[in-house]
Amino acid sequence: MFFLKDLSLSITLHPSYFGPSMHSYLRSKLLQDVEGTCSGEYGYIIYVMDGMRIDVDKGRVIPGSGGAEFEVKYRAIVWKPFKGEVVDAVVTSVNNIGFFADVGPLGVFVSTKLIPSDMRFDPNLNPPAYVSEDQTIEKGSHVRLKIVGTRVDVGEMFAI
Amino acid sequence: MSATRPRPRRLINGVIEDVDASVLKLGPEFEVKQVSHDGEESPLIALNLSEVRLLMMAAMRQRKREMNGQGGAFDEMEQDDMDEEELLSSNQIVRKTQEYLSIFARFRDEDTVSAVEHILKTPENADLHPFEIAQLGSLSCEDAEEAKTLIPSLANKKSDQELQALLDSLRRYG
Repeated sequence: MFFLKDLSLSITLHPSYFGPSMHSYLRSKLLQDVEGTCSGEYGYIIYVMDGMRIDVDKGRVIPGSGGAEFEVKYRAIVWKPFKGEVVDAVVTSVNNIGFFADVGPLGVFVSTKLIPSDMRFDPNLNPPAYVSEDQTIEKGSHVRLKIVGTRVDVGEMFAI
Repeated sequence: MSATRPRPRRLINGVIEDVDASVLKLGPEFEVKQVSHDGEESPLIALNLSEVRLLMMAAMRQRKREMNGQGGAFDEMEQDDMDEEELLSSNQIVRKTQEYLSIFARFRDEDTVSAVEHILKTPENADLHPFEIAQLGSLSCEDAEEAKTLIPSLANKKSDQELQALLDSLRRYG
């Protein structure tokens, strides 16, 4: 599910960056550090909306190091999978224990146990696929699936 | 020596508990009432696939325009013709999302997306959760039964007739 969320990031800047283009440096550092990343709390941060003012406050100098810490506030499009959510996906690979499908940035594994029983795996087909009377699941097929579980690792998510 | 924060009970071995979209439990970061940067309370904004696709395309065009604008003269006419392929990101996660949206977004242009927004965000639908509204706009459902199966939290909120009427008006657009 996609959401538009207000988020903030703390960026610490070395004094050599203080100067007229500091704001734009902070902005590009924000984009670099945050866009296309994944966290357990917010899911995948897909895109930072720059039209909404990326708010950079005055910055706080860190005693002892001379650098300054800025709290950058921004709005971003995030995507997070939820258990119980139904999504459309594109199948990326099929084998005898199940198939993998991509929902945007996330890979989802569907095991044979969770595939309708009228579908049988046929390894002799090219490409190998799950087949039933009226449907086929093979690489590139569009499927609709329900997420039954998610797991978060550092920087990545997994789902079934 | 640093103090360790107590691990929130919800996160155990990386598995997030208590979250279940079929009963609209989305976890603490996605409450219906959000607090925005200026401290104001604002509603949770959930987007359907078509809305995200258009939003991203517009935002990326704008960003490209700003970047080119700094380099040299830019031709306004040219920039508006940037189509989806030209806007593809180099970041793998962003790119995969763009490709996904271009396959599954039902409503392809601004006018239809606005029309859909008007259909979904009526006073009669004020009891629907943002998640449900976004799902209705993303998943194309033939009938009320299908919609209630895919979005179980709708079951007691709308009658089959109301839901069917809603789905039929959406289907006119995509």
